[in-house]
Amino acid sequence: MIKRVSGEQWLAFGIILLGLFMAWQLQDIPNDAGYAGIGPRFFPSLVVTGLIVAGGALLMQRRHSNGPDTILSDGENDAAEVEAEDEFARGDADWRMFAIASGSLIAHMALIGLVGFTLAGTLLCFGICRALDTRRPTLDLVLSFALALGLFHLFKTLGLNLPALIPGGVL
Amino acid sequence: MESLNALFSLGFATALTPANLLWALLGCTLGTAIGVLPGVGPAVTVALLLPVTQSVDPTGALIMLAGVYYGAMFGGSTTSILLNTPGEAGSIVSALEGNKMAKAGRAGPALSTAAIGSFVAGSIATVLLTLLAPVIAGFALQLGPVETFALMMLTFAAVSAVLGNSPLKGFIALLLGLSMGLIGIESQSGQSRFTFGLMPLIDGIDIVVVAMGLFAIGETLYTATYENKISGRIESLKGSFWMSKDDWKRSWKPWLRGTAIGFPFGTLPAGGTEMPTFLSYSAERKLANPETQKQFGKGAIEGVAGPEAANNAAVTGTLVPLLTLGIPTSATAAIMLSAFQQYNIVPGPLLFDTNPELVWGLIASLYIGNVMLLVLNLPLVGLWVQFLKVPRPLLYGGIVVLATMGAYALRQSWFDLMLLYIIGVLGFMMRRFDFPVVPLVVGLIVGPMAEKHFRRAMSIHQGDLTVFLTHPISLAILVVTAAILIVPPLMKRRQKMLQA
Amino acid sequence: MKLKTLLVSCLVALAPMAAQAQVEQFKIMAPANPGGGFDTIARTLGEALQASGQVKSVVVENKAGAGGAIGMAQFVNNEKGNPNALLVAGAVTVGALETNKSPVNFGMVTPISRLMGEFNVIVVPTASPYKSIKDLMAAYKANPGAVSIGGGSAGGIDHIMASLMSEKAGVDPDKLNYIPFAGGGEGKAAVLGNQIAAYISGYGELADLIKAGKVRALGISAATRNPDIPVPTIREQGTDVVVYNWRGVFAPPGINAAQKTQLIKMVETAVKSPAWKAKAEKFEWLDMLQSGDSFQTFLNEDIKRTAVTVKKLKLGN
Repeated sequence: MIKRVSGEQWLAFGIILLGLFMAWQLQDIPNDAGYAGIGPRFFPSLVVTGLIVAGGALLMQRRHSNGPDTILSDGENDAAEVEAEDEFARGDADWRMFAIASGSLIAHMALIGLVGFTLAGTLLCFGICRALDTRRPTLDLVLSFALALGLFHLFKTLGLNLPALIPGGVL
Repeated sequence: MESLNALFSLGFATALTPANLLWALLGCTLGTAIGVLPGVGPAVTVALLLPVTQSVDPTGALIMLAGVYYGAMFGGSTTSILLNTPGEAGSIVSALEGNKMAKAGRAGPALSTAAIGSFVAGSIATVLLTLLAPVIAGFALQLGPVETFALMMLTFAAVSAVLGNSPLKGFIALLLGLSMGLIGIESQSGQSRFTFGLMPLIDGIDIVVVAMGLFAIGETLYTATYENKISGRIESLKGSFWMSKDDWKRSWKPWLRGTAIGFPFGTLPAGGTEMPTFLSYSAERKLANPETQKQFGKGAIEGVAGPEAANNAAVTGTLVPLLTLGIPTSATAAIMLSAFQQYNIVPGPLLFDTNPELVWGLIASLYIGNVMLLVLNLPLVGLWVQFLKVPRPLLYGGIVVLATMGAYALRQSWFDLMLLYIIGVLGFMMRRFDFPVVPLVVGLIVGPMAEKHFRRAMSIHQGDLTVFLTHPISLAILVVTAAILIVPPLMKRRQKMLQA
Repeated sequence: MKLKTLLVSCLVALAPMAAQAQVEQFKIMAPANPGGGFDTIARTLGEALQASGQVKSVVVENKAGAGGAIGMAQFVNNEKGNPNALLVAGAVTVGALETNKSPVNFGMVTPISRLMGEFNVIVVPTASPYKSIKDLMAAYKANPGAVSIGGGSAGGIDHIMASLMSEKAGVDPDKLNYIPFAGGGEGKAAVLGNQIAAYISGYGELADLIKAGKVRALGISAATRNPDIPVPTIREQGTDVVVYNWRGVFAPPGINAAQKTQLIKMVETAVKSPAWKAKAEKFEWLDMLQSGDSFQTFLNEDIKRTAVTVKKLKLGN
């Protein structure tokens, strides 16, 4: 039997790590209980304990199901039993598309203050269309722009001004 | 029956003047239109439209604001169902089954059951408001932090009962929600927790950002990564726009149950509109027959009908403490209160004596507003459904733009956009590894409230834990909670033993 | 965060406009959500500036968070040297900045005017055995833990008032059993439902409940009795505590003395206009107009007093 670390096990590690990290952060919270008898550290401690225990349980659970008696049963487990290298694989994962979608969101975040809502929004909408494998990019670009521009002016009418390219401008 | 008399002689006489009818119509229309925008929830809608009402006489203005309030609530569930982008906390649950229905081509019935359910719940709740407001308000006041905490335990127990096929994963999702809820200032002590010195985290993470990140962004990332090659477009139209006979049969009970759950919660000082939607969803899922139960998670109409009714009944319920005691129990009610003050009207115990035509006119306009919303929205269902005909890439592009705008518009901070993206990635991973989302949302909303009320109760009673058992109402709620946790496993075991 | 704006309003721009040396566009930052106390001040002042013909259009920018600290940080960064912008802040902000270890403080803005104030009132449930401040303080001295006192969020003006009262009673404010309630509603419900021993809030918030006899008012935190209000002051009942929840406006850093004088003149004219007066009466705001140096002195004292109290309460970290 080859020991494999499934995506879910990585996740379990992540949850345990999160718990440990929070436990470390917990030290910074003063625990003056006052009359309540329990302080502001009490509930976080419960949650932290829960995270570590539940993460451990998830880790154990997968170990068991990865044991020799279940390794042959595909179906339910096939998604989880994958190589460490492509831990998130399910069907044919298209990480290029994930990157395009993520990139669009991050670019939007960075650009919205510089070029205003309309242009950043157009780029975002168009980027998502690309990530979803659009067949007609030109039309999408035009419609993305129309949508972003429309929303910009709708909000402006409402008195909620989104950032513009030039303050007070129409874009 | 004095109140009924007042309602008809004063209320409807005031509300049914052509001018006031017009204000109600205008309010409903504006409320629906603006409430549809994600991130612009009912509270902000009312705040934004407040200046518009300044040129109108007080009665007309308040009637219009009531319409805005209802309309905005309604608009929130539309985006939830159609686009999986809940605009406010009360309609998160509607996205669960509602959006699945929309994807299966049943957006029409989903929107219709939401509209009619809201109407039914709103109307029944208004009747209760008319007849019982002072009595209920007096009773609700008896429920302090001790009882409220017990109610929250009930919510946790009810939700834990519907964790799905992997209780462990549901539990982890709940813990993740609770962890997020810890971020920010702890109200009792004023200490900041897990803020890493970042100012924008001091007020905690906004639930709407979480909901839109998990649902809209998470799903877009997932679809882009895994489902590009699977299907071309969402099936927009299958069957009728309207609810079939079967839909009606499956909807009416959830409407009534949702109302019964939502209204009392709304009247509580710490009730809010989210908890009743969770409870209603859990109840529907638990009460469904085995056939229907299988549909949950794939688009069960009960899961839209119940929570929508609960949400609307709770919203009407919040008017009970507002009108009788001047106590706002939700952000929107607080804005309504400041609207009242604009006209020198102080809601509260004296309002029914000092301005009877105004109060009864307002209550009458709630009835009218409800009818108007139904009339306005049912025909719109056909129009909304057309949105799903948009090709999938563009539809998702639009959803993401709406979600980012919703996260951005109010605080205007790229920090919120970054949170939205991080939570989107979390949502993506949760889908990838089949973690249920509801427990996370419940943990995030109910967790901080539970902690606050527990610490408050303990502070008032100086650390005496027995108060939860010596207060009769609290005891009763905790007994029910225990029953929910203990009885089903016992029943299962008994069944197994009987079968053996 | 370099961007501008969440500019609301303009819908109020219906006011008549006089021509003369008008400011074209004026900006008021309300570091809170639409509808809150700071927002009301910002919008009312905006209307008054327009109605008095001094400003052509006003944009109110809402930037909520951390008791006003987030809005203040943005204001300091974005508006430096802008003589046509104001920030609304008040007693709440003073408390929040002290408790949150904020990177900004009042030294970074230019104080213009204190606009208004509200005094607090301390109430007890009708079923309460306490009939006066003296009763309450005696019970508190005997067993501080048993007298739970509710009010606004921790470190806020209500909390400060409770701890000042505690000090006057000779009890360490650390012993105070303070129950914070965010946003008024829950707190009122708690005192109506006899859940807590006493509750502190702005008088305007509780006036109706007091008039209707649903709660018993023990004392107001004003220096002298108000002829319209049949409630004695806390001070005259032997506990010398005077607290006002004030709100004022501040200009950006880096403006010159002439610009400061000009802003003070504009604000004072606006506050004396009927548009402001009408609103102030509706909301029962006290006229506490104070500008320039005297406002600066008041502010420094308030900050000092708050800092000491916050330290004693072991708030913040």
